[in-house]
Amino acid sequence: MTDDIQSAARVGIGGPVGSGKTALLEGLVPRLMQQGIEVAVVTNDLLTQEDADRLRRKGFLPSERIVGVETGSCPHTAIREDPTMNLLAVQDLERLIPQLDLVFIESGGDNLASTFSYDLVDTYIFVIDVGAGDDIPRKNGPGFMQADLVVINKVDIAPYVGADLAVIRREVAARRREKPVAYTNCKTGEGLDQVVYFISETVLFQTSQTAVKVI
Amino acid sequence: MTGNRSVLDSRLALMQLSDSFFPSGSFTLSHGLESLAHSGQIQSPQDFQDFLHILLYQKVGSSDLVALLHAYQASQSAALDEIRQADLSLFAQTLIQPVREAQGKSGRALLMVARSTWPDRQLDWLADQISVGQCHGLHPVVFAVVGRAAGLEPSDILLAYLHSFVTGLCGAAIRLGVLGHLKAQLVLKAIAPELETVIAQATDLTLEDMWTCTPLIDIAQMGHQHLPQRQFMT
Ligand SMILES: Nc1nc2c(ncn2[C@@H]2O[C@H](COP(=O)(O)OP(=O)(O)OP(=O)(O)O)[C@@H](O)[C@H]2O)c(=O)[nH]1
Ligand SMILES: [Mg+2]
Repeated sequence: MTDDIQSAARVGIGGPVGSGKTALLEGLVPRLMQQGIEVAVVTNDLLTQEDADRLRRKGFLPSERIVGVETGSCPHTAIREDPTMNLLAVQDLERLIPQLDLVFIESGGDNLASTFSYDLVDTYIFVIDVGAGDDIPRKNGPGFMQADLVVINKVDIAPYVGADLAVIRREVAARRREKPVAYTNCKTGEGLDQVVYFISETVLFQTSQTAVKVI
Repeated sequence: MTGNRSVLDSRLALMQLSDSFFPSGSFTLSHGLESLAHSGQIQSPQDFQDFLHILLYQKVGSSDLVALLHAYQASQSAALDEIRQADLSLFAQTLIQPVREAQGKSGRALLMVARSTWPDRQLDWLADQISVGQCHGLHPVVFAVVGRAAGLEPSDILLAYLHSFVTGLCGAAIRLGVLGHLKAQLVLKAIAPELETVIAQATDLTLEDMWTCTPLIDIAQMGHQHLPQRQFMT
């Protein structure tokens, strides 16, 4: 019955509070739409529908393509141990918009340990910002280490917070080895093409690999 | 030997289904607690215990469990129409829109995980019914069919349902700062003997007799979506 609905690709966006997850979405969505890709977004706000509302106000996506899910103040549970409410939100979007190609799931801001379940997403991006210090890569947080793509955001403010981008680049390369990294400034769009490229290459031109079929 | 084996299986299935680790989205529900805590009507562990008491006797035991039991018996005898009837009756009984929505969402969440854990024809049928809008898939009804599919005794299904409900609420209360982890365990222990009474009450009712009377909590549920800050879906 529902099993014959084609699944959209699912991309998780995680990372600490304020690192720029929503800003990244604001940059990515219009770029993907320009390529004719049908996009929707699920946000997991910690306390309110703030991120969902902010994206709606931007107006680049019809408001029915933006869904906020309350997470009972457990942002990591909602993307890993019990992602069922997020899966239902994705499923509702797929029903409403059968031609959907891609759903982003923005996690509520969390810590360096937050990782996504691959029963929820096909791939995920971990966003950190240089304002949190150039020693973040050295902390070996599981989110940072395991994510399929790491985005180092707010490169523009590095000089003002005393963060050395050269140090970050070196540490990241040493720790993540060949796993991809993008350096971005979401205010200007710098580096976003790389993220778009990553998404296209990893998930877009194949159907969802997610194992759990939902009702 | 095989007898022991199936008793063991059933006990383990009971623990699996009633474990708060079982993924069914229940950690996103506060059943009105968030509103009441926000407005200062629930502040202490005692307030919380009173709240549980009211919910158990005047809602869960007098309607949710009744629908659950009915759905279980229907599922046991493969009377699919009767399962649907339990769902529709409970829906008609649940007047608060956000509560209906939450019951439907947690029912679907449970069904999604249960179908992949305990493959079963009736669970597939239920999913189809929900997707074509013939059934709402309310949580107690889905729970009944899942319990049957997992091979649980009816008394165990009722206990599992109540245990998950009460522990889920304790978790919400801790996150809302109403009580701490030690008090939460004391509340669980204090409420335990009452669960049997609640079950007995439900056993005596038919679908037509279902009732609820929790005006304060209902009003809180209706006001919930207008809270300036929300952690929970209800
Ligand atoms: N200078 C600069 N500011 C940025 C950049 N990206 C985001 N910001 C700002 O950083 C702040 C936080 O950005 P958000 O996109 O809300 O961060 P978030 O990760 O979604 O935050 P939460 O959802 O609350 O965890 C906002 O004020 C953004 O305008 C960037 O590349 N450069
Ligand atoms: Mg955000």
